[in-house]
Amino acid sequence: MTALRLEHLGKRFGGVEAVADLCLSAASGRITGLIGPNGAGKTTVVNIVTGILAPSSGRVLMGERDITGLKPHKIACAGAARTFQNVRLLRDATVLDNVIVGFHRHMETSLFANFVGLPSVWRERADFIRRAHAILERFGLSDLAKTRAGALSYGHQRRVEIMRALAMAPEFLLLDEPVAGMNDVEAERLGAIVRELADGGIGILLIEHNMRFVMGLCDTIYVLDSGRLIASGSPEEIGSNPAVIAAYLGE
Amino acid sequence: MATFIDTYRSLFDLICVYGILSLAQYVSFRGGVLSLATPGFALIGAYAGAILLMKTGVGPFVGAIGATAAGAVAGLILALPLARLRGVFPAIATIGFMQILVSLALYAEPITGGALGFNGIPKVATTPYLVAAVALVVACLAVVNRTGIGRAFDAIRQDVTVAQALGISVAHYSRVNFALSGAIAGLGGCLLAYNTYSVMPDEFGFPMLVLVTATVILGGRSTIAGALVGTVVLLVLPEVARPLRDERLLVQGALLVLVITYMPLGIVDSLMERRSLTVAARESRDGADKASA
Repeated sequence: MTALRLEHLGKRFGGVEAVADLCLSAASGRITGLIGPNGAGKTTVVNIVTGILAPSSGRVLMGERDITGLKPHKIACAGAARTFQNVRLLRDATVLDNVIVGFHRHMETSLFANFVGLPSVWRERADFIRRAHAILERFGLSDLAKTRAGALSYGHQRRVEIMRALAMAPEFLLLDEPVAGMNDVEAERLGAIVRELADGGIGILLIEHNMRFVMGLCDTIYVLDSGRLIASGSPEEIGSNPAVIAAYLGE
Repeated sequence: MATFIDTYRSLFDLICVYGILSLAQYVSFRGGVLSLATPGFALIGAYAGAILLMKTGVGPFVGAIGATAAGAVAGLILALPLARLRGVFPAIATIGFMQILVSLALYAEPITGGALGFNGIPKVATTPYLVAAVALVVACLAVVNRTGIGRAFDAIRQDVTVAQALGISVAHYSRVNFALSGAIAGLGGCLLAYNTYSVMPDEFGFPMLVLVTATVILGGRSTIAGALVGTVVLLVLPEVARPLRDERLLVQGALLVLVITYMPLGIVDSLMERRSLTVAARESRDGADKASA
């Protein structure tokens, strides 16, 4: 099953074609990589998929649903979670609260119930807290539950961000340069987590710079250069593709 | 003791009323909305309450409920054009809203009584009722803060993009925020009218705006207690500093500058931050002890 499909996606900024005729599909339970040198249009793709930008042409499909041009929060509610290139946590909130806020799309109590504090609201709250603790435990961060997120180390902040995305129980997860600023050991640990999430059935789109990380982790890789798809296939195929080597190293 | 209470009762009443108005302002800040519409909502609540009580003959309870509802509706209407604005723009727009309402109150003489406003309003909001009203607002906000609405407010305040990526509708919660803030300010304005015998347009201009924003900034922006502590400090200060009466504004300004410099989060928030830091330090020390043992 495909978690995300881009059909002939295009985006123009005035005369500049940031992305042109991009077709890509990311399967559920698989890790799909999207790589490319600086300025290739990766961030534009991220912004279109998450609804920050509307595409000039083409469609974005999640499962069978057309999410082209929906508002960011609608896309999130439809089941797309993301992390940010430069980690973005609620810095003043605790680690636990950062995870709990990820449950927002699963909130079932009404606005009125939340205003007056009906019992259903407290039950839901207790449930969210319990599930958040379970996620913390899974990631080995239970000891940091009450710590302010802004006070954590960079590697930990990355993990909290992924936990928050996981709390959304998404069908599809977009990771925007998740290992930027990490050393190899940290990256490897994160890679194991990402693999585990994919094995759990989530479709993952990995936008990355770090070639070694992408090659070792992805099932399928798409290579973008100057807004155009120049190659796609398994890591082995990509690694030996002359066009990719030329794009990265110059001719 | 009895004379002491009598002397300070009116001050205490004022603290209750302004405490509620400050909480209305606190709700705006908490939800990441830089709205300065509190005096405008308070004006609507005050006039709605006064008109309901004096011209329609309904009781003070119905009057207060009507004033609260009027504030909430005004908030919802104001949110329609403003929910999309970010940054300083809602501040400017809401100051305009406040000015328009003050002018309307001045010129719509047949309804509002013009510059003289309403006089001879029965003093129905006596101290026990005011305390009950404060308790009610605090209880409501305590619930809101701990449930989904509070979580959405926190997320939006700290990072709008993140909030959207989590499925939180910023426009929706901005409307909720304006309605809640409007309702609380409407109630506060109504109680001001029911406590001070009169309503006049001048009460709801810049001086009130400066006071309610200063109390929240002074007391702390992220806790309910902050707004209340700020109110107590700013209203008691002029009484304590009677000898410096002529320099009252100077003392108030100096205090604000000092607090902002040395307790940038406000009195209550800064104290809580310090406490949580010591707790964290102690816990990490305990952890280190355990690890080395």
